[in-house]
Amino acid sequence: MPLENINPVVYQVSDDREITADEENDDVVDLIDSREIFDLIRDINDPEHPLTLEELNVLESANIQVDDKASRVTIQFTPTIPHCSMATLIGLSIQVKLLRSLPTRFKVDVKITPGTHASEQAINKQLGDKERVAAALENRHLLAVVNRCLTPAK
Amino acid sequence: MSFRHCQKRNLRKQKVGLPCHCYVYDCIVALLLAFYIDRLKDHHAVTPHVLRGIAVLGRHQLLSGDGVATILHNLNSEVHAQSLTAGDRRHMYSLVTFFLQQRLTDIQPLGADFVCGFIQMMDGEKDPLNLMLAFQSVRIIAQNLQLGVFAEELFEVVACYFPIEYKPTPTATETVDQEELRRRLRQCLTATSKFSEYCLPLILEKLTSSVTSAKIESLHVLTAGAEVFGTEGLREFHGSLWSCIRREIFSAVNDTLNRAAECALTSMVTALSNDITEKKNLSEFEEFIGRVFEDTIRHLREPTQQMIGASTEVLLAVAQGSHYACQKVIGRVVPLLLEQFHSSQQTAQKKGALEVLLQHIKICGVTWQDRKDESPLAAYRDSIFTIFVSLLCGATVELRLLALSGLAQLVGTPNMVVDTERPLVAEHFVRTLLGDRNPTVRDEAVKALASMAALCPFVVRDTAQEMIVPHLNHEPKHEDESHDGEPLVTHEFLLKALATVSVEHVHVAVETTSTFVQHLERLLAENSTLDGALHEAEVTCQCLHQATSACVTDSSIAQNLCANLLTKCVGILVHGALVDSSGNKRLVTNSSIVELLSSVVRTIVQNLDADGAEEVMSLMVEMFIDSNLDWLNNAAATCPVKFEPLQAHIPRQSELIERLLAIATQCCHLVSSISAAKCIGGIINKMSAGRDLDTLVQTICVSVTSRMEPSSVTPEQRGQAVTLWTWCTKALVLRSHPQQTLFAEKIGWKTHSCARLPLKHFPGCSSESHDILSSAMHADIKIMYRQRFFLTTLPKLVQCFHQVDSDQKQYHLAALSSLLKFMPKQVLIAELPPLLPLLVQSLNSQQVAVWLSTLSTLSDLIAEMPDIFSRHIDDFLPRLLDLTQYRPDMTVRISALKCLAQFTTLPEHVILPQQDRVTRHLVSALDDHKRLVRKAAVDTRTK
Repeated sequence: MPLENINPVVYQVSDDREITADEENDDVVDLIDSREIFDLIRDINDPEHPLTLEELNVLESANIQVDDKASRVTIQFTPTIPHCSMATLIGLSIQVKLLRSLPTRFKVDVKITPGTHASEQAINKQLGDKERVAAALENRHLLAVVNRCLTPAK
Repeated sequence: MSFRHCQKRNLRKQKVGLPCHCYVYDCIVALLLAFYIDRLKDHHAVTPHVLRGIAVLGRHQLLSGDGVATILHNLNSEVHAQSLTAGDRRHMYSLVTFFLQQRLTDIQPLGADFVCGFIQMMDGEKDPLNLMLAFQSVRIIAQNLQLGVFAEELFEVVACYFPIEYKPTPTATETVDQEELRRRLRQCLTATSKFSEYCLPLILEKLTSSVTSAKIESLHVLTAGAEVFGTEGLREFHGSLWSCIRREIFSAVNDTLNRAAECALTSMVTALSNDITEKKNLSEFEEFIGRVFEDTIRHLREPTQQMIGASTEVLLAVAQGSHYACQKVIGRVVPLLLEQFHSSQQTAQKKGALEVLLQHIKICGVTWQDRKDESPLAAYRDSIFTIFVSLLCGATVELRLLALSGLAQLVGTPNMVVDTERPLVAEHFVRTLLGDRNPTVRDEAVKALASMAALCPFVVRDTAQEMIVPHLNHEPKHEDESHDGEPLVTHEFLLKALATVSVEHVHVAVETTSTFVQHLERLLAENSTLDGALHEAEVTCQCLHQATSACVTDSSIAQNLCANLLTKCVGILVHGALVDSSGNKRLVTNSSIVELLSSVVRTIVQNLDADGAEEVMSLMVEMFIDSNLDWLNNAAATCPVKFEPLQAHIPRQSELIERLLAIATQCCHLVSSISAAKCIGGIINKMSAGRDLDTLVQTICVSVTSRMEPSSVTPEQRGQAVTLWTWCTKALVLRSHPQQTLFAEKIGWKTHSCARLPLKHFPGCSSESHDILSSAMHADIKIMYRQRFFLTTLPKLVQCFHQVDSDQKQYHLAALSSLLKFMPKQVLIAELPPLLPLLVQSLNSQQVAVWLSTLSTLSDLIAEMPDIFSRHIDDFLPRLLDLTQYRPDMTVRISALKCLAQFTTLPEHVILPQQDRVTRHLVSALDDHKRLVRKAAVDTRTK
């Protein structure tokens, strides 16, 4: 299959999160914040390129909203080009990664940043449909592709 | 049949066993030959056996020239090679190859007949082993025999294999190297100039194909063949060959292909310029090179500089071809580049032009290396030189950087910079490193100066002494401060620059060491209490160490200089120690300075010869024992004593040890006592075995043991005692002394009453230390000492473990894990299984510290020994999963999670049954209230 975006722009990767004294104190409760969610999904690989979603600027820390008390996470991601056919797959990979890494109490919404994709509505609907996500993950081939995206390149 | 077999076997035996009686033997060889030749006409089933016989007979030295001719003739006429097996054909090939190598004069008269026969013989050959032999023969034939009308046939019979691909089947017993096979085929195709008219079209055909490997291979053939074919052969084809090569280089698809194309181009240029003595050939060369210029020069002119890289590659490849070509290229390209540099306005273009220019200068330097006459660059030398020098003062950082590397390269190119200009260049470098506003440029200037130091050390040395050293004597000027208020060039930078330059050449290093010593002395004399002063002194010591290491590589200079330097260093230390007795805090007795200076001394001592070392040793000991130095504060003097290189004899040993022991155990100055402990360690390690050593060990044992009990002494004194004990243990372990276990168990787990301290030291016991007990210091290090230590210590450790109370067990486990850490895998495989219950048991104990040390040991071991853990996974998993929920301590949870993560490296069939349970269990860890725990849980769960 020919590449859709042959020459993507690569962005600078942010540094690792610094460990604070509070985090090492066993008595302080650390709430799950947007940076923590970002750290969970920044290393997901792009399906086309040997680059991570962070390097392609598909994911940004600012586009992640977390409410730990209400157990809700909302993530908006930006496909590199408006006609990217991989957008659904990227969204699915984010869903799966969070499914595996977040406590079960969380409700995760993955959406496309408004105005960045031609078929935004359709993809949002697909990703928001719990049944369809579950069905997609029963497809062995699709699961293998998602797993490849989730395996760190290093 | 049986008669013939029997006959043949008998005869062969006879032949081998016959006495070397020429007359008789001659007859027999002739008779045997006639017999075998006759048998060739026999039934075809006999042929393989007969061939084997002929193959042996043909190698005999008494076989006449006629015999050779007869054999070859009959092989051609009577044997149908294609219907034999590969193994039988190999006998024929090897015999022919043997004849071609050894009996060439006998074959030459046969001429075209033999060639024709050989072509028939190897036609359709497929076996790679046979092809290796056949190719070898074809090369000899093509080079030495009259081919006559068969030239084309001979070429075709090998050309049909080109480009050869061979992948040995996994079951094949005898295989050939594919590269060797290709090389032999290449040699065949390019064996003689007669092949040029067939070979070059073949190459062209393959070059226009789309198979990359075929292209690369044909370019290799062209590289090999160009010189053989010469101008005459290339005449018709060089135009088309050039367009193919151009296409490959300009499309730049594949690196290997590009390199092959460049090599081919170079070798074509070489071939064409080899024959330019004739006028006709000269025009041929001019035509070719004209074409190349036409296609490349215009790219150099383009302002976009898009194809400039590829064009430069082509031009460089041409210039490498011959001196004449180099002259042509330089004459054409350099003026163009210079003009372009002057005319262009943009930095990028100027930079591009200069980079290309530098590449050409480099190639020209290489090509003209062994020539006496003037290089083609000579005409442009001055203008090039001026450009680079003027750029140094330019405004653009990039161009200044380029100017530095360019000038450095010019200095390295023969005949580009004359001797009188060298100091000038060095001066420019120094001025840049002192005065440039950009730190990157200054660093680059240091590198340039360093690279120059390797080529002309004396010039650099003098310039550096003149221009850099004075700056060290006064404070950095504050008028040329940059924005942030820091002086532009700090002493630290200058010192490091000097060190970088001096490591390049001994002559520079010799000079700088004395500069460093002077600077250090001045700093110490000033004795400023500022932090900056300490840091600068440290840097000076480090630089001194670097420069010294560079000096000692040259033994002739080293002996002299080092003795000098040694006295200075020791002088500084002792003087400092004496002054220091007043108790004020001074720079010189700062532990880091003492440590660094001792390492300088060590470097020198390591490289002294035996006599020198002995001399130094006796001086040291005298100074230490006889002089009435106040030993309580004598940190400096103890340091050098601990070196005992080359097993030099230590005078007055017992007296020395007594003193050292006193310092190590009673001195209130920490650095002194540690040094003394190290020193004792060094002596114990190197002492020859015998009663002296045993007494010494005994003495130490008695005097230190009491001090290690917490009740009798202060904590500091206990600390000193433990340090001394550690060093003694180390020394004994390294030499595999029988007492090692006693010492080790004491430090490892017996001093449990407040065992924090020993616990920290124990892991070091079974490893070498970098300064004293290392092989560079000629320490006595027995091979396999670790294994021996492990095997003798382990049983005692395990035994103790079972005897002590549960609150002591953690120390035993910690000792165990540090033991396990250093062991090679082979030893562990045998020893680990009995220890596993111990590990499980410790996970089930009630001590947090025990868990932690066990978990870290486990993490290390799992990946190393998957087999053992695969069998015991059920013993570990439940407990580990419980520990991930251990509320009171997050470190336990994290370690348990990390350890679990290690289990995922085990084989799939082991972990799959557990996967479900573990992932389900880890869900709760994902919701841990600590972020670090969650992180570890995610890492583990998604592995």
